[in-house]
Amino acid sequence: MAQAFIELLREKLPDAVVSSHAEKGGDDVVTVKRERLVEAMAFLRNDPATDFKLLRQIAGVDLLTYQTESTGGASLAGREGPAYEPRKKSPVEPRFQVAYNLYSITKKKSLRVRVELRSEDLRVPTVTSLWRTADWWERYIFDMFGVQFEGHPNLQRLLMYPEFVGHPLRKDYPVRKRQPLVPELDFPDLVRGPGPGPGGAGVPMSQTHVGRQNVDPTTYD
Amino acid sequence: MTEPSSEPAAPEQDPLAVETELPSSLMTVNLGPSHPAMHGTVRLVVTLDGETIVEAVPEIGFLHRGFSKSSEQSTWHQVLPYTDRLNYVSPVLNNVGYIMGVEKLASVKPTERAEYLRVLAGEISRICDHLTCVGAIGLELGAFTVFLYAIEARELLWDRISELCGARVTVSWTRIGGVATDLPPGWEEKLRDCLPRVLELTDEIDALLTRNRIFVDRTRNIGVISAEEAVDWGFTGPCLRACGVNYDVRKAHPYSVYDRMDFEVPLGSRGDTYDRYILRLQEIRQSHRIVLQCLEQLPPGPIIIDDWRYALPPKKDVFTSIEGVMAHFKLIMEGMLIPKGEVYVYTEGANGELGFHIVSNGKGKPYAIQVRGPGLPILSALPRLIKGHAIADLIPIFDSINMIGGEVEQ
Amino acid sequence: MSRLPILRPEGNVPESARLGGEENNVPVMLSRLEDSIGFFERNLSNALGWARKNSIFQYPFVTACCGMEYMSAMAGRYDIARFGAEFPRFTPRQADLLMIVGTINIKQSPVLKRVYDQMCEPKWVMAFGVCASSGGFYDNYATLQGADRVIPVDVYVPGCPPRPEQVLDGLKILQDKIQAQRHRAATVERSPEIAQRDQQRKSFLGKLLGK
Repeated sequence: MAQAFIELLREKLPDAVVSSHAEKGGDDVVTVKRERLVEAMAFLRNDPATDFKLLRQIAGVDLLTYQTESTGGASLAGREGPAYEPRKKSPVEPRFQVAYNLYSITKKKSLRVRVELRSEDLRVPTVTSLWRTADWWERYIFDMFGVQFEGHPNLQRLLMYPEFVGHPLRKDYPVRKRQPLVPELDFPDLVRGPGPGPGGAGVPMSQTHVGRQNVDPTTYD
Repeated sequence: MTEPSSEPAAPEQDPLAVETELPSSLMTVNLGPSHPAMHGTVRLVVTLDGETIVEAVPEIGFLHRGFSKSSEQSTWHQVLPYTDRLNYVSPVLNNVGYIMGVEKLASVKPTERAEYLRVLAGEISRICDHLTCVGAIGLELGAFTVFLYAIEARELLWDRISELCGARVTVSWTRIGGVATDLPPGWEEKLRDCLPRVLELTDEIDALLTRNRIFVDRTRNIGVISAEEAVDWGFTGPCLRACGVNYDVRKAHPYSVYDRMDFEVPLGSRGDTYDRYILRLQEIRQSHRIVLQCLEQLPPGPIIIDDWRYALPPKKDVFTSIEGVMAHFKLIMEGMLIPKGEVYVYTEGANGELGFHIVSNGKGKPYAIQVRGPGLPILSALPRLIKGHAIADLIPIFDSINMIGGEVEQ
Repeated sequence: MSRLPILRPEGNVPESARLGGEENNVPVMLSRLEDSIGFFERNLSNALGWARKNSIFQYPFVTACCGMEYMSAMAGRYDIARFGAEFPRFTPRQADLLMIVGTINIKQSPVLKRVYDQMCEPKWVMAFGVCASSGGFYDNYATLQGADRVIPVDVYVPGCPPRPEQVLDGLKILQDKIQAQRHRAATVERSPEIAQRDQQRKSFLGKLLGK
């Protein structure tokens, strides 16, 4: 598929490429070093042989629980809290991957360019100078994972509100931890969890958790 | 055009000259997240100079429902209802896109009949999407009749979809290796009966709007974008094809049975709102062609594969054999164990290239899913599209890009 | 022994700010209700109820997929105009029914509250769809678990999305509720802040003489 383009990239910038492989389903992935990212992307975009003019998506993956996350009971909305103790140092390094899905309309080839990041050093140079669409995708990755894009003109949260604390798509962010903006009305028949939670006694629980005993009140709103 | 300053013009230049520029400052207007247009929820803070838009800052996130995070807590099939609600005007296309990604990871090929059924229902969904978009364009420019016709056509198609898939809007119809339900008896005749009526209504809409002086004046040369810039902004789908770039995933990388279908891809030339509208009408007609071809070529056979690692066993096996009940139990409780891997699967959604970046760690629920909603790049280019136009032009532009809040904001 | 649910006309909120907290002891059965209030009040209430229920101006707070069924309910086949409720007023100042159509997430909740506050009395709220009623199946960090967490809701229409017939059923229930609201000719409905302000402004003699 796009193996030829990866070879071109390897020839042009040999020390930028860390590795490359072909995934199932026909995807070709090349991992580049973070410091050489902009050069490599500029080559891929501007060189007439590769011509990757369309940046489809910038995806992020948090590999924290890749080995340990399991199923079984997931369909019963089982696990509440994070899969591991959040305050410990992350046992998996590099923890984050930022993947750029590129496409060349003229050559009809797709390529995924991946950058691996360690959890203490979440910075990536921005590619907004190459593709204008990278603007919002990088904001999305920043919002959801906390990755800082150096040189981005307007790195703010895209989907969450500014008062939100934390980065939701990280694996150590509990799925039901809501941070309400408007104080909620009091109903006598609202099911309340075991108190005292943040905000007073008996934090209201969502309807899927009526009667649960073993909940961590800090993970609910 | 000179920007008027906040202080009045100096009077010592010519005291008898008539001031032609009113000293005024720029005005900021908030087009808030509760839109009268039925397009989801976007806040646009526009800075106006009189009626002309100088700058616009969109703010999104008012429909962010945590699709990625919720799908990490559900099994592979339980994610399907979440995918329905991404592009809720053409839900079958989302289901198909997602399930193709899962099938790629599992290296599973669906049955042939299921492929045809997916294309059939997908194209009907695409027609519904384009009808809704055109209806909304008409509605917001004051042509209420167009809206009523479009919704009536959509109702006719939804009747067929509800008979086939079980629900009108949010269907969750595809399964790994096939689809959930087969055509009910008599469905094909009913579809063949209602399609001419849908085309009639489309022709009525065409007659009402396409050569309508008011409509043309409001949409011609409004929101123009060039092909290169569109690609740079990440456009795909009707908005990109309106600029003249011939990129349709169904033709460029035919998936499912699109290589056996004979249809054209309409292309625009100017990249303005009028082209986007015309393109959608033409795509309705092309989708209609595909639907008829599917009906002709539809092979008999099973609608789902017989592999009990991924597909639920038939009910009679569940209730009469040990293996059946065990397979059923494991698939429901644990989910299908999709092998480890990462895939980016792209299909032609109604608005553009709908992509799913799916990561699996070998377990019964997805490790990470991220949607490439076609509306997000187009919405990010909205300030570029509306700059310099009057505020009344914002409405046709915003309608023609057909931003669906669910897929933009996941 | 099972308790009969008491239908409160002002909604399932214990202290209704809208009706001044009165009428907590309204008998449930309508025939008794009709007897317990006077002739003038009964006819006034019936007339006002009839007028209000048949000319609902809705503010469609459309966010998500339920908007599709909302469009269907508005359009020709499942005509909501038969019930007098077809005219969407796109400003809350002129609307009396707030239809919350679709998911409300936490970022949207201050907006929802503000829109609700901008509406004038009498106002009603319909939660259209399960996401507006209870958060739907989006039980995660982003979604408000039901619009009734921030504003009082009168009618819940479940469904994901509800068929237009369900919406019309919900509208019928709301119309019954509007018809059943009682209005005493002697008192004027005031919000508690205004009532308190008036109370403070009254002179000693005014307070001595009562209302």
